[in-house]
Amino acid sequence: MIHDTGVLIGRNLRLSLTTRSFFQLVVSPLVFFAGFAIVLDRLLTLRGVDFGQFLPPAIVMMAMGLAPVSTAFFIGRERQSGMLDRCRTMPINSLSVLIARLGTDAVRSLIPIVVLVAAGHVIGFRFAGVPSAVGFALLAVAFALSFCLGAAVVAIRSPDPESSASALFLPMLPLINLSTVFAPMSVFPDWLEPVIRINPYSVVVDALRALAAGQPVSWWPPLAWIVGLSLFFGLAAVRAFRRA
Amino acid sequence: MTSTALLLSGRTMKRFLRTPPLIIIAFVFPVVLMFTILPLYGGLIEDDYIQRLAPLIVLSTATFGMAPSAAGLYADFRAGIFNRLRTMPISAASTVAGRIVGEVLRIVAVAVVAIAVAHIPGFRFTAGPAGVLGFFCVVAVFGAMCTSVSLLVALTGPDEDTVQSALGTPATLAFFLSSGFIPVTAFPGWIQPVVRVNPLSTASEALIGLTGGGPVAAPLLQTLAWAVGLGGLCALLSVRAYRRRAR
Amino acid sequence: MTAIVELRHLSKSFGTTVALDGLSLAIPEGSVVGLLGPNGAGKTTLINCLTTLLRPDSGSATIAGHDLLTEPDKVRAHIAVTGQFAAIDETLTGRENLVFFGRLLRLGKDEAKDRAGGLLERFGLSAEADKPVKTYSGGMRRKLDLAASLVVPRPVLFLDEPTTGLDPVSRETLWDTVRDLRSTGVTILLTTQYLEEADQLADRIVVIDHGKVVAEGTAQELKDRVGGGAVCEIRIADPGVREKAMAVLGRSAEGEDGPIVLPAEGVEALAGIVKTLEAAKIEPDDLALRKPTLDDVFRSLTGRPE
Ligand SMILES: Nc1ncnc2c1ncn2[C@@H]1O[C@H](COP(=O)(O)OP(=O)(O)OP(=O)(O)O)[C@@H](O)[C@H]1O
Ligand SMILES: [Mg+2]
Repeated sequence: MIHDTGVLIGRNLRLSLTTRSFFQLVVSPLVFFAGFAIVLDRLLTLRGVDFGQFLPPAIVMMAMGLAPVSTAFFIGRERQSGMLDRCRTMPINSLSVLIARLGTDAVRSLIPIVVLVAAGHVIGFRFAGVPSAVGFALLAVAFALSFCLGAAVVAIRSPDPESSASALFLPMLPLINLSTVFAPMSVFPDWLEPVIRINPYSVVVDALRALAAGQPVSWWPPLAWIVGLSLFFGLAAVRAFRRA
Repeated sequence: MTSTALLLSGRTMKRFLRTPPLIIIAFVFPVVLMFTILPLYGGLIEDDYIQRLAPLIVLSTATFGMAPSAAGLYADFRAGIFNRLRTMPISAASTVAGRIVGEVLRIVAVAVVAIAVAHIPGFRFTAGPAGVLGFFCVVAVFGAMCTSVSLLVALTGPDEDTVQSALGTPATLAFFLSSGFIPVTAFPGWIQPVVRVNPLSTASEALIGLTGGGPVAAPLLQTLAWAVGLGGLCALLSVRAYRRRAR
Repeated sequence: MTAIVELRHLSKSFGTTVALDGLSLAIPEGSVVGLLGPNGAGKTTLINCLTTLLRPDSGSATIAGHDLLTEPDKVRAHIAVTGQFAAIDETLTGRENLVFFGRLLRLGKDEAKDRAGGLLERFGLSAEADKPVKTYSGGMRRKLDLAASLVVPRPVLFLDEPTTGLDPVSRETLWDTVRDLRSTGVTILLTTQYLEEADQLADRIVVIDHGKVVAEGTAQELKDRVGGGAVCEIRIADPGVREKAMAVLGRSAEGEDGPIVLPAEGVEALAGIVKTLEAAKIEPDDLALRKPTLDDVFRSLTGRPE
């Protein structure tokens, strides 16, 4: 199974070497980075936010939030081209297809993180040290993967996987906008505060910022979310892949 | 030519209405975008931010619709429809017109829904019925411009993936760098000239004006200039590209 | 009879691949011409050029008196096509597709509906007429695609492998349709992989390979070229022995496997073949005398089994 997974990851990564991937993983994060940098700079600096430390984790969250879209897209393609069925007829554990997908997505997720950290450097983003940088990357990827599992379930179940892939980024909009990703808590109306506080995007981005700055991190909320979501979606995905 | 264009646009509409994920994305996306941006930037900027945001949301249906509309054209290439049409005595101009009309109908339909929903958080037209009519006309003109651009790119581009990326990225940039998002003066000084000429800004300002929130004439003229210049050019080139295209 | 489709030295290359190599052909009005050729021979390319989808690199062609290159719009008003791959809208129903194409070809609403209904009936699609095409089977799509090119009758009809993927009954239906159309004076150019089909339908057969016409004539004329009265068919299973037999018999055209076919008019010719084999000490698994078929023509002309 480890061997199969390795072979499949290799194939997935080769399939990833496309213009689409380049735009998704490099160009579009940079565009968002530049866009938000321009739009938010004045507005947030006016509120006393350290913009250089604040923005890069936000865009990293955004890139992580888009990872599930490509998970669903690729699984949808595999399904339509019959590749998934072919794997099922071969003596390969059907779970290796799922694990290989996640492995590939983990690698893919690292690319925008690196790109954005480099871009962030320009506007003054700094890590407190090497451990904080590693922790930052691990937490971000783990967060992305927990949602990728959910996307895998949708892609396997949906009758029209390619279009459901594009529908998947709908839930990301409220999650990312109604969180502390793009603005500090004080910006939002009071009645929204409980929602914002509990939002997984808030807890993870707060942890990322704390990690980068070398401040004490409250690990429990982000880990609870990531483990909870992974278990929930993971069980559903295993069932869906075994059955589908 | 008009009847052909209408038949073709009717088909585009039917396809759209029969693909539930497309409908959901088209109608839900703008509404979700609106309600999630509102508390965030509303808190950052001004009290009646919805008057600024609603027009941008409506226009971004057109700009973010460019990539999916190119995808629709590629679906037709794959299905062979495109080739069958080309062997029929139908003028290239009416085929292109049919595409544009179909997309504009969709954009306006989504705009009507989004604007209706925007009334909940307080969006209002305060410039009378003429303003309302003008508002949706500007949306239609802007939508036609975007569709022409996406058509030209799709007809001349190398492959679907590249075309989608080539349309999606500028759309995102234009969204950020528009005065529909935040007022021009909230941008850093060096970028303000770019923000001012961005067609998404001029159209946003025109729409804001037509709801009674500012000047109308100047942004309206600028938007028309964009639509006639860029949109018209792309439409003409699309007709040519359509005639030439051989697959 | 005058030629309604006429092409002179038509050439088309894709990069270094020469798909059409100075092909000339005249198709008399009201006839059915079968275009035969192995995979990659250039059949689809030829049809695409004639239906204005591709622009030939050089040469010229006229259809119904209109020049393909200078008056494509006029040409389009005289032709209908069913390509090798389906060209219908997946999200529309079968009926909606036909009505849509009919309306595009300037039929009135009711007329378009009537035509659609009639065609759906003729191709046995009435039961599925109001379901979206994406729920159709491969053969049903094929039939609908054919129906779509018949919505408005045109004097020239191009069919690229029209019966590929059809079941025997549907194939018969299509054959009958082609015969009906022919009897109403429609000129038809059809490509096919099935020699039987060409034999059944075509007045004249054109065999092309590597973008060139390699043989042309009625089915009988072509069969005569292989061996007017009869051919001798030799089957040898062992590849080594088979190769040896081909060498001594002076054959090279046949492919890697399949029977070796030789013209064998009269007892003398047959006796010659047997003697040659005997001298080389070759014992064939099977040796038979029979009437030539188009398959034999195909093999001997293109060197590829079909
Ligand atoms: N768009 C294209 N680009 C490059 N080469 C092409 C293209 N279309 C056709 N060819 C090449 O031209 C040659 C003729 O192809 P064509 O499709 O006309 O063959 P065909 O006779 O229709 O074959 P088949 O029986 O397989 O349908 C082939 O070698 C093919 O590879
Ligand atoms: Mg072919």
